[in-house]
Parts: sequence; C-alpha cells; structure tokens
Amino acid sequence: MGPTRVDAPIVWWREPTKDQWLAWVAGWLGWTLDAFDFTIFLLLLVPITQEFKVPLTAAALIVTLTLWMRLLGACAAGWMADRLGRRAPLMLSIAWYSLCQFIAGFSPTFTFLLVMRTLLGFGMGAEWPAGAALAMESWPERSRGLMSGVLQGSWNLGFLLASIAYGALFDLIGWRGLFWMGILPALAIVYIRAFVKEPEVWVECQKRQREQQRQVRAPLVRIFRSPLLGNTLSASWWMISSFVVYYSINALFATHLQQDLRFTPAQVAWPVAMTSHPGPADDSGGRAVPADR
Amino acid sequence: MAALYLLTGDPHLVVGGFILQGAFGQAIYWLNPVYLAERFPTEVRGAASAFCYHIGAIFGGAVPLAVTLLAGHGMGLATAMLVGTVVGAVSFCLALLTGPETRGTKFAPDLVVA
Repeated sequence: MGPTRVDAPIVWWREPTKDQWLAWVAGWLGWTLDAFDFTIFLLLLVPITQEFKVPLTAAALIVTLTLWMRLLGACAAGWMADRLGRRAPLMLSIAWYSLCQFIAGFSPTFTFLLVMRTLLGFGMGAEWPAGAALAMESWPERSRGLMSGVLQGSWNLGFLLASIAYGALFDLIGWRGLFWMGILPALAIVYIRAFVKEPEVWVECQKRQREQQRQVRAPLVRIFRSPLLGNTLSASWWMISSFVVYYSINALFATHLQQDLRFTPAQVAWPVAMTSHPGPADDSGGRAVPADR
Repeated sequence: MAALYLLTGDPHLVVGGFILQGAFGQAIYWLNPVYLAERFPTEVRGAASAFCYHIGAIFGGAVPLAVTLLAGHGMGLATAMLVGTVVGAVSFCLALLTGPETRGTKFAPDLVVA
C-alpha cells in the first residue's frame, strides 16, 4: 500500500521509531473516537426528534452548533498546543467530549441535549489540532502523506464503529445507551499519559524561543499578519470547500434513507459502513493535486 | 456522481452510488493534517491548522441547516444535498490553485515569525 522506491534504504513502516508510532497512534485514537461520538448522533437524529417531538430542522441545528463550537475549542487547543505542548490539549479534549456525550445520554429535555452536544463541539474542535500536530510532527517526512490519509480517513473508521454499534445495539439500548457508550474513548487518555512524548521539533522550537527571548505568545494573532496572512486565508478557503462537499451528503444521508426512502436501522447501517474506510493519501503525487485520484 | 443516486428512489442505486462516492470522493479529505501542518512554521502550527480547519467546520456546520431549509422549501432533501456538493467541489478546485506545493517539507524548529 505504501510507496516503494528503489533508492529507499528501508521500507516506509520501519522508518519511524517506536516513539513516532506511539505519537501517531495517540493522534489517531483521539480522532477516531472523536468521530465515533460525533457520528453516532447523525444516525440517531430520527429517534431523537421522535422522543422529544421536535422537527428535523431542530436536530440539524444541533449538528450545526456542534460544528461551530469546534472553532472555539480548536483555537483554545491550538494556543495550548503551541505554547504548552501537543499532549496536554489532546488529553483534555478527549476527556471533554467523552464526558459531554455521556451526560447528553441522560438528557431530560431537548434543550439539555442541545447544550451538551454544543459543549461537545468544544472538545471535538480541541482534539483535531493537538492530535494532528502531534501525529504529523512526529512522523518522518517520506511517508507523512500516507499516514495523514490514514489518520484523517479514520474519521470514517469512527463512523464505521458508530454504524456497527447503531445497527447491532440500537434495538437493545436505544439512543441513550449509544450515547453512554461515548464515555469509552476516555480510556485513550491513560495511553497518551503513559506512552506518548512531545515531538522533538516542538521541544527544540520552544527551547529556542525561550533562549532567544522571542516567544510567540499569541500564535492565533500572528497567523493574520505578514508573512502568514495569505497562506492562512488560502488554507481556510480550501478547508471551507472541503467541508461543504462532505457535509452536503454525509450529515443528512442517513436521514434521507430513513425518512424519504423508509430504510430500517440495519439497512441504513450497511451503506454507511461500506464507505467508512480509512484511505491512503499519495506521497508521490504531491499535496496540491490529491483530488484527481 | 452525487446526482446519480440522490435523485432516484431505487434503494440499490442509492446505496451503490453512496458507496462509490465514499470510496473515491473522500480522497479530498486525506491530506488535511499533512497539508495544513506543512504549510505553517512550528511556532504557530497548532493555532494555524486549528483555525483553518475549523473555519471550514463553521461553514460545514451551516450546511446541514441550509440543506434541511432548502429541502423544506419544496426542493426535496436529495436535490438540496446535490446543490451543496456541486458548489463545494467547484470552490475546492479554485482554492487549491491559490495554495503552495509542500511535498518534501522537513519540519524545522527554526524561529520563522517570532
């Protein structure tokens, strides 16, 4: 699956050290389990609107608020990640979203559910920058694109786990039970605390900032100044487009099947599961032209 | 691609189309971590990738709401989903033209913006 090259002295998966693997796995776990907690809700929109007798638009509003809260969580975690290291915000964020999901399972009213899911968005947003920076900085350059794909694509693995849990357990434990399962990701924190180190490049960069008294105290402000502003805007535009494509289909596809086409939980689960695979990215083709695959 | 299966009521076509799109269409997502990480220096990497990714999520978050609203105004869920997909895909291609190629980037602890 990985790129093989004649001039490569060792195969790509032997190149990373044990610490690099451990760090990548930490980012991967945080992201996959984040996906589990987020996407299980997408599969449960219909039963939840039925229980609380609210229109579908109200439930879709929760998805929207959750995704919006991510920006706040991400900015907080991004600042922490640049100033204090990548590990702390990763562990905090996993704890945060696991707890929110668990508590949301007890929701007595729709408003309570809305508030808990919105708060969950803060933890979700916080997870990505910490986990991605940790995983990408730790990984060697040669196969970084590939492992970026597996990392990001594992959102689908989380979605797959969520759809399996939904297909297998919904009739037994209902949507509340599935929400309570969302506490399980918190176990990943133990692993990160015990095994994962900060990326060397971050440690060295901090050391230089201290030694030279040139600390970047407000990284979030700095990205809107020269020379980074153009880069920031271009990257933002790129990400906005990606998200519009993805959520146009995926946020409401299960609902489309249940509501317009009258699929049962098992029938909904399998197409969702089939598309949920982690995908490889291409290290030989370059970064800016992945869409032609 | 999305048009093929969103506009039909045949369950086999719907399911088949969704799986095909899932298999190939999601490639656009796989490079997010590496491309964002490689575009920014170490001092601001966390904050920069956090902001760019999640400003995307803000717009993504508006999509389900926009789609259900459009769908409610007589368009139907399937057509509304299709409109979102096409608009997003065109915009994506344009945005890529404004970005750098970063393949081969080695992360450095250098102070770039400090």
